[in-house]
Amino acid sequence: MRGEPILEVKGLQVEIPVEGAVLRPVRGVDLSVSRGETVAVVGESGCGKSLTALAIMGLLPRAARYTCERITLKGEALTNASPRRWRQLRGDRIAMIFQDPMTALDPCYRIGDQMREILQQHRRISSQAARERSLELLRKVGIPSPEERLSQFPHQLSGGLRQRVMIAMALLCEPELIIADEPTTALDVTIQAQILRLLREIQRDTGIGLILITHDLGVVAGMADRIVVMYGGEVVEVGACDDILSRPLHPYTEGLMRSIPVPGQTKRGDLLGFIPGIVPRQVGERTRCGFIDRCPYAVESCATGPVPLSAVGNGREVRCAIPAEKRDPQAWNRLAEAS
Amino acid sequence: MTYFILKRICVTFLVIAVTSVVAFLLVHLSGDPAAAMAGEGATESDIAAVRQLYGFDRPLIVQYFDWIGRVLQGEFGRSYYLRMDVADVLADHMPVTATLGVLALSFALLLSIPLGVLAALYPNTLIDRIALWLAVAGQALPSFVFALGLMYIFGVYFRLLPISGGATWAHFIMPAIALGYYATPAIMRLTRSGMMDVLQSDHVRTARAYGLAPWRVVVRHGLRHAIIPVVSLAAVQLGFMLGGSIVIETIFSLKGLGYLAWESIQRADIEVIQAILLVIATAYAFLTLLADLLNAVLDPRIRMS
Repeated sequence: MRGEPILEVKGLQVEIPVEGAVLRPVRGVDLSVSRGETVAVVGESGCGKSLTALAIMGLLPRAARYTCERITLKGEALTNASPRRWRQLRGDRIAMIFQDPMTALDPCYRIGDQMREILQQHRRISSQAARERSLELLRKVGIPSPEERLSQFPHQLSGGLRQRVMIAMALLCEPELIIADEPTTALDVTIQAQILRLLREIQRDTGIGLILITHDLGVVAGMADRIVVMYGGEVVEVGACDDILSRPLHPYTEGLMRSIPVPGQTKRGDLLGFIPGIVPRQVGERTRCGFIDRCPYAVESCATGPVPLSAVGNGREVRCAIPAEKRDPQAWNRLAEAS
Repeated sequence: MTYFILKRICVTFLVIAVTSVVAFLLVHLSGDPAAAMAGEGATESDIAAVRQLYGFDRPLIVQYFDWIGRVLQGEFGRSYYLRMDVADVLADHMPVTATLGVLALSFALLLSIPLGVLAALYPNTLIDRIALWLAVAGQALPSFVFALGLMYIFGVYFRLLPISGGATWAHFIMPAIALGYYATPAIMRLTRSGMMDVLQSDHVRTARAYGLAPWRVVVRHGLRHAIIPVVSLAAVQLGFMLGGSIVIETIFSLKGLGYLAWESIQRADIEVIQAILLVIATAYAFLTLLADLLNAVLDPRIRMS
């Protein structure tokens, strides 16, 4: 049921040289998004999901280097595209929504000016027409009294409204793809739900591809078509949203699922599941499974070499050497008690 | 916004009033003005006569209000030494200092802001090193050494520019460079650090993410933020140049306020000294006000808070 692919990324790597070592926070990530599809990239802080998004946008910090085997947008090969070409695409064909709407807008300019600036960067359009277009989109994202908002400064708007403005800005040039990096993390829970519903509606109306980057599996359910789970700079599991949520195959995904409270089942005072430890510093080549230090099922063979991502049918891929049927159901509890 | 401006103007006048008191007291308490005016070898009765003639025998508070009352009516008094109205003396000297100060600040800004921006855009590269070197040299070199160096190269060796006096615009080029260079390091370093910060900020990342042209990202979304502390610093620097350009004015024989102040202090020409102090304090206060207003224009959060 997948439509034509919009974005295809293959073998994306990010390296950051630091004092005496090279950090490798993203190591060979493949990612593809089709028309009308929402792909959720999930993982905890430091797993490389945000850097993946920034690398696709060409927005990495100065110190970071990135290499990519292949990247295409609507069939156009961009692997060796010039910075100028990338600039033309950013904001026009690919738009990005950021985590913190409090700081993502420039405090010195009115909302209307910031929207007009983007439109006039990518289109030959009069200020009057830009204003009309901005108004139309502010209305579309459900902002009350949009005329007034156009002449307001970001600090005069609430967080939820600012994030709606960001979404309107992303839609200005009718992009093929929107990358939303933790779009609801900085918002109140009630506002989160509104923003997610808005994103879903817009995506259904316009058929754009959406990459949703989040650490929150609760956000993913009901939003995403496919899930890409990342750990330690690698994709550890890929599959349809429902499949993964109902039957996670990678131990890390299992751990993530166990950490979500379930309405009706989790009671006050119950211990939520957690994954002991932190994401290790990502230096050097992989010589063993990247999750081995925190995995409850780890056996000796996990340390003998890097684990490849292997297809397990039904469009699912998983990076784990231990088949699900050989896993000990009590392993998580033992690991929690031991730590 | 109106409230903000009114508040700032009130503060400005308060500052001027306080400095007028301080200026007056400093001049009157730093020595016996009558003795200084009567000169060396004057007898007790001569001094007493001078004291009475100029009213120095009255209580200080009476003298202060007498003076400030006249100043408010535009009467700055007479210079006993030059035998001219102080207002006329100031009118002769002020344009020189104002021209010098404005030119020097313009030079400093034109040199230091682009350098600071470039240094922030390309940190730890050759351009950053050069900018740092210029800053260190500017900070370390006394302004008279730099001025003499300029004079030798452009005045004596190449014979391009006049080295003394203030008759034409050309006369102001070297003094303005010598004076302005001194302000360059601070402004440049402040611009650089401000730009380094703002280029890391989320809204600049947004501007880049939306494909805005590089100059728009750097100037409209970067420099506009980084320039705010620079405006405040530049106002103080200009105030400093107006009052503290004695060395440069002396070297280039420019008859400006700094030079006049130095001469008047030698002569105990009280009315002139007081007037100069008041003028410079007022200039400082208004420059600070101007800087605050400019910053309010640049950053809506300042004017709306």
